[in-house]
Amino acid sequence: MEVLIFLIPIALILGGGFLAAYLWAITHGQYDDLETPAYRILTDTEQRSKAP
Amino acid sequence: MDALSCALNPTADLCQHCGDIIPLHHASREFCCSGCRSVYGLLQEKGLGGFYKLLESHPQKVRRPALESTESYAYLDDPAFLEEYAGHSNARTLDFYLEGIQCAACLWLIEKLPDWVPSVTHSRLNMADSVVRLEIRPGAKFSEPARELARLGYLPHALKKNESSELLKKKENRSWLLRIGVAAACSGNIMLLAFSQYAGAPKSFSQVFGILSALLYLPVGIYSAFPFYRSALASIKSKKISIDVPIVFALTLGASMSFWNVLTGNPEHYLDSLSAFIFLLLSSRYFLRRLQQTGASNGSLTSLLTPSRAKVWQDSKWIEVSARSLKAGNLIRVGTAEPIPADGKIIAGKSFINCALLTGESQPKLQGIGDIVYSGTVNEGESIDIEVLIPGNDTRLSKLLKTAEEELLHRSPAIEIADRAAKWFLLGVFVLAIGAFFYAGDTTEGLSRALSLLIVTCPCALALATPLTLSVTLKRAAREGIIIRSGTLLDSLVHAKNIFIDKTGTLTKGRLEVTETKWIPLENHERREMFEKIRSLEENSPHPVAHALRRWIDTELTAPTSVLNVQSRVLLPGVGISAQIKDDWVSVQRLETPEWLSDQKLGTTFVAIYHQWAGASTWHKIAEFALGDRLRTEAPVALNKLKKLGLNPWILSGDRQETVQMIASALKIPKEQALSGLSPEAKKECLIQHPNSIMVGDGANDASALAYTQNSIAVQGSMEASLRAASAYSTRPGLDPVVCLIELAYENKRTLYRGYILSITYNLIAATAAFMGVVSPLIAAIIMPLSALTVFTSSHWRPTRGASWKS
Repeated sequence: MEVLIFLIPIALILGGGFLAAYLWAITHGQYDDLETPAYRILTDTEQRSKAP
Repeated sequence: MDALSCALNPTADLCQHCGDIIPLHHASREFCCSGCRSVYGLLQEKGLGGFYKLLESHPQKVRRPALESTESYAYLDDPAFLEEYAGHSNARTLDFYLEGIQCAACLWLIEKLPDWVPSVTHSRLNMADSVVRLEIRPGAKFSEPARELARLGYLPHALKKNESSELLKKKENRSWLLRIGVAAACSGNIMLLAFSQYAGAPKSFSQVFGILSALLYLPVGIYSAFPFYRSALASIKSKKISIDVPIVFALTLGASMSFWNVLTGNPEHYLDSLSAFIFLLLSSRYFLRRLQQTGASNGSLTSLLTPSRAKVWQDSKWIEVSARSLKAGNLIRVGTAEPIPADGKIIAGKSFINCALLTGESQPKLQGIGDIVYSGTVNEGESIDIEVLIPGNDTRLSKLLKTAEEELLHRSPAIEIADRAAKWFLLGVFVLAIGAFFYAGDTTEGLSRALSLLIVTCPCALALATPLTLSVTLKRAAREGIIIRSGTLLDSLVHAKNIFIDKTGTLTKGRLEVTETKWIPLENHERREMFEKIRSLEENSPHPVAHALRRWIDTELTAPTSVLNVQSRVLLPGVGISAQIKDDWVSVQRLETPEWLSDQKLGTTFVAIYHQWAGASTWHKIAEFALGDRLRTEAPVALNKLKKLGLNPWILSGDRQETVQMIASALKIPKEQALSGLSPEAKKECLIQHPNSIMVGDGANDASALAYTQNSIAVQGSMEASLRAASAYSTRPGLDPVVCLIELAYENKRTLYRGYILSITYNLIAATAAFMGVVSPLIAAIIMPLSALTVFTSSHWRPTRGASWKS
């Protein structure tokens, strides 16, 4: 049970790490346009198959 | 085009570009119109045939036939224009709103612009608001990509760079997202800890977890919930009570009690529920925000009012500038079928001016030297030179549209009612909470009941459902091609009794078509020869009569025809045109009303075709044509639907009485409700006399009537003018979108009521339970988000009625 003393801080640190990554994604504008990327993935297939 | 037509016509040819069924009488069996044909050709030429493969994955989208445009967009290169719209005159980046964006295929095509327009380095489309950001090479001009986009059918409208508000919007969105993220992370962790507490952790652990939960709650309660505190404080200061006040109260009370418990060693707390609640509420508010931001925002909509172009005589040559930069005294030239960009006096030339925009007359007036002409009217004849008297914002048209703009800033009454109801709600809940406290007798029990009551009674219908329902309706309307500017529209559409419909363009096709024709007896091959000659004669003329004749001949010919060489074309001003073709002479001339046509058909214009054989000296009249503006095919059905919706239909028109009455009887509208010969001001009068009416009309011509009432829908017409005047604008022609919009409005109301009923029922049951002590604050905090979720789902659920009603 004492392992919790170790586990809980790890869980919190991990959570904090993800929050930091989330913050990074926000500030780099990844969430500004949520609709267009959904369509964009459909259109890239042709170009990729042409790539050498 | 739709399931019904396909069913009736299983072997019909489909247009290769837009997928429309090609009517049987069309000569071409591959394309439905020249617009589609040219776009198809363009795509093949550039090696962009992949466009059609992408289209296959969106079969349910009805592709609109390509819009034709012959504009040069030279005004985009005017340094003054760039200065105003892009910030500086050497700008290399500019945003454009594009008409006609539908799906991934469009996205692909537009983002491929750099591949086939060398001056473009970067092209990025935002599908949510149909805005493309174009970046060009230094030294290149924006008119080139604009023309290419227009050729493909995506009419571009330059958007002004509204830096401050756009940046602000972006920053706000981002900070909302961050708050949601923090709330989610922390509440998740608190819930983990709380779970073990429920599962029966030993006392010492439980206390530690309690402290940890309290620490984790701090970011949520202070940072994430901050918007609620701010808004609640603001509304208290202004003595109005909004939804956020009871929410903040519950949050504060719950958090305080929890912290007190934790500090005194009692591990029971409600922080998991409170933080989850904050997360859910924030998410739904954010979702709403994004929904409302879809489609061009109000700010950018007004900058859609691209100033029209003008050809000005400057430095001994004609150059194209934006109409904004015209000054009094400038000499401008307006060619055939071009709109007049400013109020002025004709200096040279004589022509027919279509004043439908200002007077509603569909018959163009002959104007000559010395006559005053107005901005917005269209020159239908030869080129004329005009001296500008009043440019820019003081023209008659601008003044008309300005009053329209000022009347468009209203919030939705539904939301205002919701806010007002919140005041009573709060009072009621307070009273109940105090009552519960005393009723319970015991202090802790009383406090606990009061807290449960405060948490469980959720003003969800008011806080969430109303704006959410509205937003979903707006989004659906946008999918149908209807842009709604004013929130009041949906509410007022439902209460309307009358609907006033402008005739031209809404009930009728809005363009001249051949309705009846009479020929002298001719052999088939002779007749065909005549068709060829007439067609060649009218081939390059932009005149509406020429268009109508060409279209009619195209349908009469069973095989494609070649354009014959036209020698010596002679223009007969005010009368018609003559030309020599293969040594014979052909002439198309206006005719006074022929007796055999006078009171039967919807003719407003009559022409006769004369022919003179080579070498002969006499002209023979070979044919007479009646041309008119035909009723739209869907009009009778649409009108029936409107009547079924409980609306009383009226026709308003600036046209002659006979024409209007003919349409009225065809549509089974009583004579008294078909008004003719109306000026724009008179149309407005009608609306003043009949409050509670809907006005449907052309955005430009009926501007003053459309602007007067909030209940206005503009159908086609130029997008720019329409958006200024009306509360809603339909990008599809005809009455069908209007019917669709009204049905949407009714459904909106039904969904709202459903949300209200759900919420009231829930509140009654939950409040009673809390009052009686059946519900602990913990359970209350769990139930409440669930009820919020239910109302949230209910706002989205619309019973499917057909293929186009998807969420």
